[in-house]
Amino acid sequence: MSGERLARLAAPGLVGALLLCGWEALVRWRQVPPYVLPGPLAVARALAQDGASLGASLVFTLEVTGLALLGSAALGGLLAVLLAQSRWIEHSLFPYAVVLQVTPIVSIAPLIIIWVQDTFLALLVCAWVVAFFPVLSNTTLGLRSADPHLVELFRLYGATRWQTLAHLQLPSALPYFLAGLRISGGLALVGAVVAEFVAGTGGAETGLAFRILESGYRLQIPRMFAALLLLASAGVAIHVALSALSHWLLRHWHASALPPER
Amino acid sequence: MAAPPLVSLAGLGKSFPRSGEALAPLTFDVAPGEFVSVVGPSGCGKSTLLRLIAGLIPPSAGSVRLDLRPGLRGQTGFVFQDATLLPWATVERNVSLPLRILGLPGRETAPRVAEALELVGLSDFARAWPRELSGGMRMRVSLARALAQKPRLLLLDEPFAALDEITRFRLNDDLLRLWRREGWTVVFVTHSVFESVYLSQRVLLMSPRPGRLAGEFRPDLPAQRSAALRGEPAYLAACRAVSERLAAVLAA
Repeated sequence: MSGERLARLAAPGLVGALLLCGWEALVRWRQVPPYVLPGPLAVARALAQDGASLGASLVFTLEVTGLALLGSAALGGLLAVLLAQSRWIEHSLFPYAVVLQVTPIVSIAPLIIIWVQDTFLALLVCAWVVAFFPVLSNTTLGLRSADPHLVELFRLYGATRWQTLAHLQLPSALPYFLAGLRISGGLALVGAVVAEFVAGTGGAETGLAFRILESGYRLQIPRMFAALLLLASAGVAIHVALSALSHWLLRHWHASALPPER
Repeated sequence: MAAPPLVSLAGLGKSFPRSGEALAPLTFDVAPGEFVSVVGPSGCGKSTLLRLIAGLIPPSAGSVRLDLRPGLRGQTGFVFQDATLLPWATVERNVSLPLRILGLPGRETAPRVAEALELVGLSDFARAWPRELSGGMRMRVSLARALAQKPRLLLLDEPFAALDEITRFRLNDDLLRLWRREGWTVVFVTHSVFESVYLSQRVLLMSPRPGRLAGEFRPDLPAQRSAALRGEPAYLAACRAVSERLAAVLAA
């Protein structure tokens, strides 16, 4: 690892460490009670103590998020291909996708939970509704953004609709699709958490959202912080993973993934 | 009796709904194996003319007749001013693109791609990505792609206009060599009088928009042309004749 890269990682790490130390010092010096603001050490203790239950909840939330993201990629992508087939199809269907997108999930989640009996499935549907739109709209745009000269060449070759889709439109849309997917990754997590807040799961299978509510009711604020920490880490991990995927898929040709010229 | 023309334009005109008449009715033929250049100021409808010949846009008046075997795809090649490569495909995959679209089996594609790359001198770059190549090399890939297709008619839309002069001269010679070898019929659009005279057997001059035919020249030059020709009096005289006519057309 080059010195510069090391420094790029060390700088935010140092800021974080300083913030944590300051936080801990403040809490101790002002004797802030832990149910108002726990220090980082108390949060770490809570994380260690409740690691098993919090970990299981993390897995549950990640399952909902991951499946919602997969569903967004698959259905958003397929729908975009359908919309790109004709302006008429796009004009007929796209407004309804927008309606679904702009209606706040908190307001439709109770309906979804009534209609879908299985809680896991209900959460999944909610998270999907929040997450699929960026993939859909970005991919639709990407499918229409192929180089017009290449489009003419394909017509000259007498390419079929499917050949044009496979050899030209899909690769052209890939960077757009991946950018949409990165936004959807964050949204899927938001959707999974918000839906669980509304649904108020409970019992054996619960996600991190419920742990946060539960800790709030019981005034176990350090545990609440621990759950929050896990949620934030999950969000960062999703973002990093999707960025890496995007970089890897585009590494040979797209400007976003090329090393800077020196 | 001479062979029937490969390209036959009869009163071909084009108007666009928003920008009006781009091409005034145009009538001319291109014989099989002929190298014809179309020269004119920018915006005179040269590119529109090529698109009409290629069948990419419908004419507003008149007709285009191509003497190609009906039903056979891939007989017309097109090279644009930019190389127009697939950025996500290697040089090799770019050159094989038309063949894959035409549904040729891999065992026929591979040797044709190899040959085309050999002819443009890029055999060592088969696995390279377009972004790794210079502008001139990219244009060579674009030529190789048309070459692999083995078209009967090749339409070139200012293919070398964006290149530096040294590269352009080299590619001019490459193009002539390939034309002699492959027996293409070529319609070459350019705004460079020197380039058109150097390359072609016949130069068609177009007026400013709406483009109409403003002159026709047959440079009296040897069939085998090479860089030495660029200094010859006969070449320069031919260039001057076309330039003077062009100046007169522009002044009118």
